[in-house]
Amino acid sequence: MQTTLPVLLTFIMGTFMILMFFMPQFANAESLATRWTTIVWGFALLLGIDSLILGHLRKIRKGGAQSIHSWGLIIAFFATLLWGFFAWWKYGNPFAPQSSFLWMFRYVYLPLDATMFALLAFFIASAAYRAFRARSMESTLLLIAATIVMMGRVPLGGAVFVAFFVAFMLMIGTYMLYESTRYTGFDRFIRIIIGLLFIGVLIPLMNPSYAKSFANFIPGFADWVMQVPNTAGQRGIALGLLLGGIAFSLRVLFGIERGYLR
Amino acid sequence: MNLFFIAQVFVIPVEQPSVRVEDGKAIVSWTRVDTSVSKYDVYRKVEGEENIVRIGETKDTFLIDTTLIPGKTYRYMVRSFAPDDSTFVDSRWSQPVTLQQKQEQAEKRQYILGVIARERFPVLIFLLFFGFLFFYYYNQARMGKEIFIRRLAGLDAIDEAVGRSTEMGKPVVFVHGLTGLDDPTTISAIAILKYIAKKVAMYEIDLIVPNTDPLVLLASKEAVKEGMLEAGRPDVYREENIMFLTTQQFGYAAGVNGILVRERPGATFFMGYFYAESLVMAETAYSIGSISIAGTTAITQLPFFIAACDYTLIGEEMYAASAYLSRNPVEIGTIKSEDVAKVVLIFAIVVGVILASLSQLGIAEHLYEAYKALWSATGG
Repeated sequence: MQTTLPVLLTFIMGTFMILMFFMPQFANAESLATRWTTIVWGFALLLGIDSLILGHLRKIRKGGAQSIHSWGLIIAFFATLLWGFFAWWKYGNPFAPQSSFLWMFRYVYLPLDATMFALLAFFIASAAYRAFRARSMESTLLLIAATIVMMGRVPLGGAVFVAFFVAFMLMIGTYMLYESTRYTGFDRFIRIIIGLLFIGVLIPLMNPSYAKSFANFIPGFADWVMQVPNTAGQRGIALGLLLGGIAFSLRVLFGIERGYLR
Repeated sequence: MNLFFIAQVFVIPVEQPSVRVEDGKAIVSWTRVDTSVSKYDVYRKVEGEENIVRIGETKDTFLIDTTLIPGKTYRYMVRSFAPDDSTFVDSRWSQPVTLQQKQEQAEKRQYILGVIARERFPVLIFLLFFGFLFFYYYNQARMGKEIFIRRLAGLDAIDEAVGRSTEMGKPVVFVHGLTGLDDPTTISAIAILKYIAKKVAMYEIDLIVPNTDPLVLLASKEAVKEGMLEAGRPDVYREENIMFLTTQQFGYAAGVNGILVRERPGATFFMGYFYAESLVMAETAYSIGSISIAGTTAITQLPFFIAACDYTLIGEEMYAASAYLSRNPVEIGTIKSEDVAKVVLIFAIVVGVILASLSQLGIAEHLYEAYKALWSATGG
């Protein structure tokens, strides 16, 4: 019974929602079901708050250095709640344009939220450093694609890329020419040719109009990388997700999948 | 210098926003008349009522209001803020707009068999086709046919991660995504949580589960309790370790980071649908030396998890996780239907690309003419 009833309820409500999708003329019934969810969620939120407050009260009772954080949470929680009620009573709506609660929301809460979001920049930098280390064929490709996209998306990125490209080719070319001095015969010849090729590629770039065309090519190429290979990969994953989602939903609907139940 | 200061404080107001209603939403748009405006706040009032409600803020020149009630008439106003964010000027109120009652919208629709909306009929056909494949392979598996499923490294690593935590004497942290129980990803995450709870109970270590959705919190408590009961160790269950943090995205990220830094878990699992907070949490897990396993259906967050975590369940692997972990051949059988449907869809895409290309190049008309000529030549 502990499993049968939830499975039966899931089947009835799931089938009902699917039918409502194909029969939008009964959309009122669908919005009624959605409203039920909102009501249940509202009551569950009380349980959530209960879990949060009790958990921190327990930590305060236990004491220790960490309990200062719990004090902070409890004080901030009740101060916000009381302030919200006060603004509601005074202005009819806590978020009314002249409300002090709106001021608090705008100048205390939003900057804190934005600070957490801003930290993402540093986390991206550290994750990118690890991901871009060219240790394998895949990570090398990732590094090349990311460099092109980054250069193509920033102001003067094209010009920076040209400078980067010239420096890279010169470095490789010079290194190959230097290496050739350590060899003789055919090996030396091959290294000289490769070194000259790397440096020779740069000759057309001495013409300013060619250099400009090359710089302008980078943003377009970055767009192509994003729109073609990147979108193709994303659509492949999306296709799998769509089918996986339907199959999973059918398993849940027909009670084949019961991993989430008691 | 003085002129610069004056220009900073005063902004030219938006004259009057224009509003159009589409798909039950009001799209409020306006023209940017002053480029120094730092942001716009949009306000709404219901015709005949005094109360003015702030809908939201934006730096763009439009905002979508999704909270309309059918039958009510609304007006909108745009507040332009100077760069110092404390000086603002208001526009005039927009022309009134009304969201039609749903019955009126329904009358305009066309139906097949009198009940099924015509524009959704192709979805029904695909669903029936997929449903047929699903039950075909379900029956095949029930009749004992062995169905192969490739190994999923991320799921195989769960045992290793929990074992490592045990050796280190550290807890395991399981982090849910931001979506609720109406998302299949969350249901799948709860099934994985139950499996982890079973493993954790066997090794007698702590399992900490922070939550952002109160309904997911309740489901998580039940799943952990049940998993530990199945392992024969209900005494390992600690209710205080499955806690609610906040419904706010970055508040949740800050809370999870705090737990990770204080508790220093040996293994961290990120399972569910994540947004921009994914990398903030995954990098913190890396920085404390925790082995991290992620699973998400959020395509935009996959690269972040792949870069920051040791193992990642990509997209549909997340949905297959529960069946994979259960080792139930019937559940695994249904996954086969996804592969067959995928082959059919890829074939349909290739045929569509060829036909579209033929049409674009004008070859389709020639082929049709040639076919007509051949038909008449054969006396058809």
